[in-house]
Amino acid sequence: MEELSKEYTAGVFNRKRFKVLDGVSFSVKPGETLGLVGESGSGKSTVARTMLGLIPPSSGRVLYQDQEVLSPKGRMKKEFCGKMQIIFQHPESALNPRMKICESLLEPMIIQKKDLTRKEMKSRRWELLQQVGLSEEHLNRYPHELSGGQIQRVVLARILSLSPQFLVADEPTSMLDVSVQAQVLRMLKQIQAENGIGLLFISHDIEVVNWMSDRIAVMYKGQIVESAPAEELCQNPFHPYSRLLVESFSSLKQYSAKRDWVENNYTGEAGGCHYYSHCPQAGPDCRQRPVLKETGAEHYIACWLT
Amino acid sequence: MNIFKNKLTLTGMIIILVLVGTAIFAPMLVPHNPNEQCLNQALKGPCLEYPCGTDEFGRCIFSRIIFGARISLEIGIAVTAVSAAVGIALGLAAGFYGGAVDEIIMRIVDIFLAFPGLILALVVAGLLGPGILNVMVALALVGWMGYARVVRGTVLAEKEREFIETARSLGANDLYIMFRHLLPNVIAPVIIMASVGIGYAILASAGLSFLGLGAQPPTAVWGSMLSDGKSYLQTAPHLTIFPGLAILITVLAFNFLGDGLRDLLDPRLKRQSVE
Amino acid sequence: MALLSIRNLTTVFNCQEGMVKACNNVSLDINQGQTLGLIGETGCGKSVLGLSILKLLPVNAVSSGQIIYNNQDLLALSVKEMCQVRGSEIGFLPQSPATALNPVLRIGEQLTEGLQLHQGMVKEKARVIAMDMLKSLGLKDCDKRAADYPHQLSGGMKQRVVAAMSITGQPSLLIADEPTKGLDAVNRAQVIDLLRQLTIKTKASLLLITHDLKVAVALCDEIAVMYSGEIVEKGSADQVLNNPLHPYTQGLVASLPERGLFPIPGYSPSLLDDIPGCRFYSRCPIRNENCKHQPVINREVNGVHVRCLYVDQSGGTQQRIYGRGFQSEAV
Repeated sequence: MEELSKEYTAGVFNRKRFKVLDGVSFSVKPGETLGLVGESGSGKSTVARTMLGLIPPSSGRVLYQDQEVLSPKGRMKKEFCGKMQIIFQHPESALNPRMKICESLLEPMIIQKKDLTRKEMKSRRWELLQQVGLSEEHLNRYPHELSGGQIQRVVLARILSLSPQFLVADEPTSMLDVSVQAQVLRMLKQIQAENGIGLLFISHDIEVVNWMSDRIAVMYKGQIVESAPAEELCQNPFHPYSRLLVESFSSLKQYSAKRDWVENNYTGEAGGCHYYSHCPQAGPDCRQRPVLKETGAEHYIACWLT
Repeated sequence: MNIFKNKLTLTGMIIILVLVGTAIFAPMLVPHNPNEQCLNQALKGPCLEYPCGTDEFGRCIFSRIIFGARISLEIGIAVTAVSAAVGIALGLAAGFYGGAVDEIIMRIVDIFLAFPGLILALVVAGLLGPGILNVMVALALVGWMGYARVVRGTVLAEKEREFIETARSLGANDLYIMFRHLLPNVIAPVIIMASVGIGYAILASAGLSFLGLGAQPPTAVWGSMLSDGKSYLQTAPHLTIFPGLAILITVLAFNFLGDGLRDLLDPRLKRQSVE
Repeated sequence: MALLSIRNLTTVFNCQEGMVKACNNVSLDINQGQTLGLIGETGCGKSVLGLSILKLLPVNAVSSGQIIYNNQDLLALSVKEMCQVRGSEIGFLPQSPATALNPVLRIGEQLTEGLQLHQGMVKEKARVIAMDMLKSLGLKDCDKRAADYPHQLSGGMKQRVVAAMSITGQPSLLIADEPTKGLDAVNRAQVIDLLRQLTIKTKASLLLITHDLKVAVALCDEIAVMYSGEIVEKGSADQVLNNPLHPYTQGLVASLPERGLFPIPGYSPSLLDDIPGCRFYSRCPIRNENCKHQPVINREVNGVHVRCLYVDQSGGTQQRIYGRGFQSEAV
């Protein structure tokens, strides 16, 4: 298989003059997991949706095996549908509430018009069900009759039916209980390893991301501020924002926000570092836009303090 | 099913079933030919032979009401079906595509809504000339805007849901998403509107036939029976009372059904999940 | 003497499918100034317990047992008396601050409303108190903010306003229902901070309902673990996190990301089902035949209340039953 790469060069997403994404670039290799962390509103989900052509980007490209994925209008080209897939956050709206589970499971295969007979599809569906640990009794239920964890399993089964090469998981477990989260994440990792799927795992929980990912990219206000191998990032976060993220998880009892977290309304018009107004170490240099620089082995940081 | 718990809804449903049965089996149920004139029996009050009395030409009012049910139901259902279909299609398109398509469709809706419905129907029916078909066209023309608005509104909310985005990323085309995913999720309010709408269409068609724009004599229609009877209102009130009652009961029945369906289908009234 | 003591509370919902026992024979005590965390997964009945205390359940719910607050049984109070208790005696901090505020009223009006209603204060006096409250919770420019509408505030500010609203009546017990649900790490730390401030400032007791074990550990003195309508373990925060006794609690701890993300196999039983034995039976790694039929009672082991037949006195034999070996059959 060719190297799967995914680039996002100079993707400026302009909407009502809010820059939601500002020049985000990264690549995911086959079978690799890239974790994307950041607070709510940092543009993580926008990245996911833009990559799959659900929101047209203002500029920039998405490449899949060196081929352009998005059409000029910003929609995903037909040939890539199915190869790139997405899991969303909310289990309650992930499936059409009016369709039974069995219909939902067949749908991807029907849309993609793979030359399968009805019977082949049904046997495929049976395999998929077993793969995600569901039983036949779930087939005749409606989504509201299943629990969140079960629905995410169904979603996973649907996605697998098209054997994708690249998967975006947009906070797939943030709405689930910890024990169910562990079930779903373990399954996701196992399936990913078995099929060699490249995974972009988006979450605000840095511990979960650390567990899932090979590399982690930290996103803040539409920019990637730091990216490093998972272990490295969790042990030696450099960017002040990454440090805040890692610290707010590191110890249970010291859960506190002692830092003076300034409430500000972000407009995206200031030219400097986006973290300037919150940064405890901000200096005069920080009024200029920092760029991602390689500071160590695969460790990239966008901060003037390096 | 919840629907049987509500007595009014149940009543409405039973009445509608009886009406539909009456309309289908009308020829077998009537004691007299509805158009047969017996001038020597004219303007008789209700009696054993004529349960609702006779009109000025000696025709059996009971038989005419039963045959009238056919036409009324036909009009009600056909008008509602057409206006709902038009409304759904335009509402789906407006909500789904947004932008210019939405703007154009919704402005057309606004223009139509700017005219009082019955008067617009009157003008249209007047232009087209009398006749049942023309009445249907006129009523459908003034009835679709409500559906378009409701469908558009629901689509706007539903199209942001994640299963729509998933379908898109699977490569589904617009028509597929609209009809396979959006339509089933917006149909509930349409069904509620339609059940009330049938009653309204029957009432409006009665109004138009009262003004002489509906079916032509001697066809039995509730509205024109009212109209014909109005000159005898003081001497023979049964000429107007019985067709009037028929309209009243039918419209009420459809309204009851609509209210019941609303309670059943409205997600806000659904049982809250237990946590 | 406990501020609030719940004795054998059973809350049942009458549904078409049958009786849903959301709380089954729950007993809890909250002392003056204590913070108690109630944790459990979605649908285990923890929110119902919170709402039962306030008697804010839907009409098809029936509670039995006793909820004794300051020597009066809340379940026996009339609607009118209950209104007095809510707000002024027991404060409620709702889940999402965004929807808890009325979008068409100014912040100031919403804050003073409670004071005027409960304590019959005049507007000016209520306003002064409300402003103090906001200031003490760290909201800047209070006077200016009070004239704002909710949509003009950021999420963190709304959270503060809602918190201020919940304590305007100076309650001695606060109930917070999932205050950190769906928040990211930084915001969650802020909310925890805010709650900590609240309890210190008002000296009120706190009942924190959450599914996040870590939030509970960070804030609470004691933690009660709820599973399928029953309280299965209750002990100090430290004990529950570091030395859990009940197999379910052990599983819960093991499924935390930093403890290796080991899931508990299977799903919790439906609250509709009447199970004679242990409700955790189908998922339990140390189950045996007795658990299936024998009713399980609360036992006290070294000061920890635990609902399991097979926890021995030391509580040590089944340590770390969730691990790699066990894992292979789980997924």
